[in-house]
Amino acid sequence: MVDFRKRPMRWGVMAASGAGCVAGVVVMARRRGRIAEKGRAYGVVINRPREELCSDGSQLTPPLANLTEHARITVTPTAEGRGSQVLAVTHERSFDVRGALRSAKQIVETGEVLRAPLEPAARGPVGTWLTRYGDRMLSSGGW
Amino acid sequence: MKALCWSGTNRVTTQEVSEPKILNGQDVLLRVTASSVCGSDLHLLDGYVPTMHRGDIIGHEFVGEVVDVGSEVRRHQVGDRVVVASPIGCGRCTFCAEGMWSLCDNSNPHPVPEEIVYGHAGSALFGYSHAFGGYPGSHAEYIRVPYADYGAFTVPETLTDEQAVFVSDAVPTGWMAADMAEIQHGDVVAVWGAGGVGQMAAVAARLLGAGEVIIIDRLGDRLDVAQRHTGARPINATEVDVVDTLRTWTGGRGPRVCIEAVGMEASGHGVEGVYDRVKQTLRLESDRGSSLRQAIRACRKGGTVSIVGVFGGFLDKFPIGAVMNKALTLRSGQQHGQRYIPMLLDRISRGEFDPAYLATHKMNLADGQRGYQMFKHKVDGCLRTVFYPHGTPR
Repeated sequence: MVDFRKRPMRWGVMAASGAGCVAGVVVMARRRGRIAEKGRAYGVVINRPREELCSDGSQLTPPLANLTEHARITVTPTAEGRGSQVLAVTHERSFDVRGALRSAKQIVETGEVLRAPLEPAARGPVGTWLTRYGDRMLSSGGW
Repeated sequence: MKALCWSGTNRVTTQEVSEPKILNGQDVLLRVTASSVCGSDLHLLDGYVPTMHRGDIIGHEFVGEVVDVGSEVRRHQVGDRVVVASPIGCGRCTFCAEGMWSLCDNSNPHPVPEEIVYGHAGSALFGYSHAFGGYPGSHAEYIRVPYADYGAFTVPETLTDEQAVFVSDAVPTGWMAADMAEIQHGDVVAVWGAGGVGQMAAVAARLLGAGEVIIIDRLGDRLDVAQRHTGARPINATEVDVVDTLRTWTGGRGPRVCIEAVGMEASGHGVEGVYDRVKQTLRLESDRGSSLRQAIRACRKGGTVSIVGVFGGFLDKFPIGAVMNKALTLRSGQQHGQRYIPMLLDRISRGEFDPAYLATHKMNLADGQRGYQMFKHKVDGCLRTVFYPHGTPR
């Protein structure tokens, strides 16, 4: 039999932590539900006129064309007239829409995707793993 | 190769690490000949930048010699001596195209932390945590420079490494502080912080037409150096009330331009100083803003406060009422070095000013911990420690 009168602070902290975890799970589940229903959207501005990104005014050119298998892509001119707004909407939870769109933007603007080492130069501690995990989860729309 | 790595709060160590390689066609590989510490490194050293990992190479202010070039590099070749802007800019996104290089859309491969905290991610920076790209820094024998056609600039033969190395960061940061304030002929300009950036801001203000430049610090020896090299009139913040003194010197109006070159670890006085330190220690605020508050209070009605001291997160008791009711303009940003570097190299070549005096201490990488501690505690008049990974100052 658990005696809650003993160490009340400890039990209080545990109860609060448990409630926090439950609330977190509920929030994530609701978010996933919203994502599944509406899809995840991500937008970028590419510093090219719309005509360069859509060959005949509506047909997407690579690399944006390569994304259409996983996402619906729309391209519109920016309000200020410099570059184009590209919006990608996907219903595939496993598709990294943010990363794919950022890579496409880099290829169009600079000709390549920039590579950067994630590991520290000397050694890779737990922090490196956490950064990679956080990047991946947030890039794919949350956990 | 040998490199100076962040090894936890208040600790850097010289370690053996693998040499960098060309990873993209637009990269060059540099043999680093000189690499300076910077005031913003102290925020890493003091543990205020959360995405640092043990083993990360630090340093972002450097000159070197090109030893290898990627297949797409057009403006550099092996043997070129170059100075590199500390923000990494692709040169072709909308922000780079408009000259706002430190806001580059493409150079930071890990934008998520910044997007969460700031709303959007800026450019990557060399050697400045994984939130800013995770690129290895310059306190090393070799460094990879992405987008080299846009970020690396050939150093004129007539300039020494000590003259060129600060053109990487301190000089353009100071210049941008003055440039953002749109200094008009005869303006009174006050600069908070007599470190490398503050002194270069004072130089820039003078060259851009200021009538009087005033520099504020707590260290008498730094103020002496600043007065001697920049012609600025010093205020020692430990001896007088800064706002009152500025008011007295300007006929009660205050300076039209106030440049904040101190940043998130300002040393406040009295109750305000204690308050900031307690809140920062308890992680209730991330930045100590006493010099920024002072600059806002001191600034003339309708004036401009130009912020180039590095702030990272949140500060408390921000005097928004003074900003609003005095109709102040706030300008800020990490430096857009690529916009200024060619002009600055030209001005130094013509003898308009010479930043080499900032290099008060010269060391090799093995003395990294000592060099940073001297810089942090301002020992022996240390303005900047410059490391020479290959030993021989040019």
